[in-house]
Amino acid sequence: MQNKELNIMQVRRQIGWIYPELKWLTEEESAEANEKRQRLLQSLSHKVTYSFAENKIHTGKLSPGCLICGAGYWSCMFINGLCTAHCFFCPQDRKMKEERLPEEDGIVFENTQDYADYLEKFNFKGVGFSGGEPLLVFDKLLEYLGKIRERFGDKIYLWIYTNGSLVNEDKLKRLKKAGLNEIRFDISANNYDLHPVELAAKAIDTATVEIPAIPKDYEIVKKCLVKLEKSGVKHLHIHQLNATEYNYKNFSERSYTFIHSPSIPVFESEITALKLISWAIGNRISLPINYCSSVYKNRLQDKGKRERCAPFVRDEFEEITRSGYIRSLAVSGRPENIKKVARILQERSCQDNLWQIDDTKTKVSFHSGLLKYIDFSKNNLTVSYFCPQLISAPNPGEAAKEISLNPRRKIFLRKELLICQRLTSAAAIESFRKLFIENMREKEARSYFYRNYELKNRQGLESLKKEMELLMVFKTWEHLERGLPEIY
Amino acid sequence: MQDSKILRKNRDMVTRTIDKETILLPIYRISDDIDCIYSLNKPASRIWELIDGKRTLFEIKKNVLREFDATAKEVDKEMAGLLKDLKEVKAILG
Repeated sequence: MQNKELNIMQVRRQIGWIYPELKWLTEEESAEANEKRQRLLQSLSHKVTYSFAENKIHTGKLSPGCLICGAGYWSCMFINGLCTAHCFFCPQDRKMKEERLPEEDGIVFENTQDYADYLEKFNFKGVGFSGGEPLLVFDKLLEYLGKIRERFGDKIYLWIYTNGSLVNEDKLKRLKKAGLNEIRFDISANNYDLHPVELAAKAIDTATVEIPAIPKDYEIVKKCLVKLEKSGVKHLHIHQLNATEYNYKNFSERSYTFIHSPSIPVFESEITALKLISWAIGNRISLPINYCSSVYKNRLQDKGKRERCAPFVRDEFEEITRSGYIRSLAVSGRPENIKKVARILQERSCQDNLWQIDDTKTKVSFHSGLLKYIDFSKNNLTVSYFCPQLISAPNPGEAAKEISLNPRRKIFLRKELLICQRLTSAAAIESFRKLFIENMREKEARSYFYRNYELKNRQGLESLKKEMELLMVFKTWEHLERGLPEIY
Repeated sequence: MQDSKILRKNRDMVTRTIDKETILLPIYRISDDIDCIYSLNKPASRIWELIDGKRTLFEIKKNVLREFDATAKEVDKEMAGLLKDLKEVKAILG
């Protein structure tokens, strides 16, 4: 199955019964949508910067928080859930009546000590406090900020997200005193009121505006851009709208079109963001603008999570790919065959920790460095990819690794199997090695494969095609994809 | 089809032969999703073989006429169709 079909199938499965209620692009509309975006991107070329494997488009410098996020060292702490606003685009449950506990990546941290230990354990370099509206739990926010600043000093960058409705000079002073580096305002949630932003620009080192790209607000944002430039704001972040179970009805009422991507982004939102950047460039707005697309979040933020967690759960013979997944290589077969492979690895004095025979004696797993010792004219190569996942506690019977944050608090990591497939030809296995271990250019690896695949008859073409498809599928878990993806 | 035209093969195309049939395997991708494989019949295989960046289309045609039991009209038609297809998949340049 091709990638496009796979993505569509995954999105259908992910959102289930909601799928038919949403507006998707027909093939013709999809071609038009891609063309429309391409025209915009072409008009921006050489005028914008592409960062993080071309996944982020921006003008001027990125904020320190964004740099930390892109590098994978950002912790997003949802310190509360309640909010003062009621935005149609809010991805969260706004019917919630009771305040919730502080939570990061699905893990609740009831006290600052545990959270600080967590930040240290996973080597975070920045924390963004989000909500709800974090200023609704102002004392708690100060407590968390203070504790983290005290523990990490200047080694950590701290920012908050707010709609600005509760901001005043006194609060800003106290936030600054607690060690806050940056404050980010979603002015779209507060009627595009710039007063709190202007106050913050005087009190906090970095005041940033971070808004969703709302198509109908395009003209309003254009006007704000001129004012923001003069207000002392240092950055404007425009992010793409995403559908969740809480906002999709509001989006459908506005006739938004959805894209087949894991976070169900809105097509018109991306166009609005790019148009705003184009307008700002055309009107010589010097305020740095950063378009935070859904694809950036899916790729870079998730990669960061995986890279932080993978070292804790991978076995020594497994490796972490460039996109943060855990790769496991193995040869499976009859015990006598596995014995032969093991004997070769022993004869070659391969380190014990770099290979392992399973309990059934039918599989030997090994580090990619040992691929060269194995005779693949007689063996297949099983390639598996796992995603590390942080959990509060495992389900009964579920295998998970315990991570102690301190003597009182533990969290757990599990390895979710994503794919397990077998390469059968020596040419495909060698191409796999060249492409993903030696990092050979794709074109060269494909050429190697096509030239060396043993083709005995016409039927062999089907297997050749399948093996090439498999190698291309593996790219999903090996490489970080570049650039904005096709819209469909 | 200009008889004096000289075509060359895209070097990013791997050629394999099975059961006397020529198979073209592009190492570039036609689109993000599709890996295409092209198979050529006997006359097409011979035309492909003769495209070497030196021979003109006229010379290729002459060779084909000599080697196959076909009229000039038939060869013209075969060549025109094949070259159009090969150009479409970027197998030939020039």
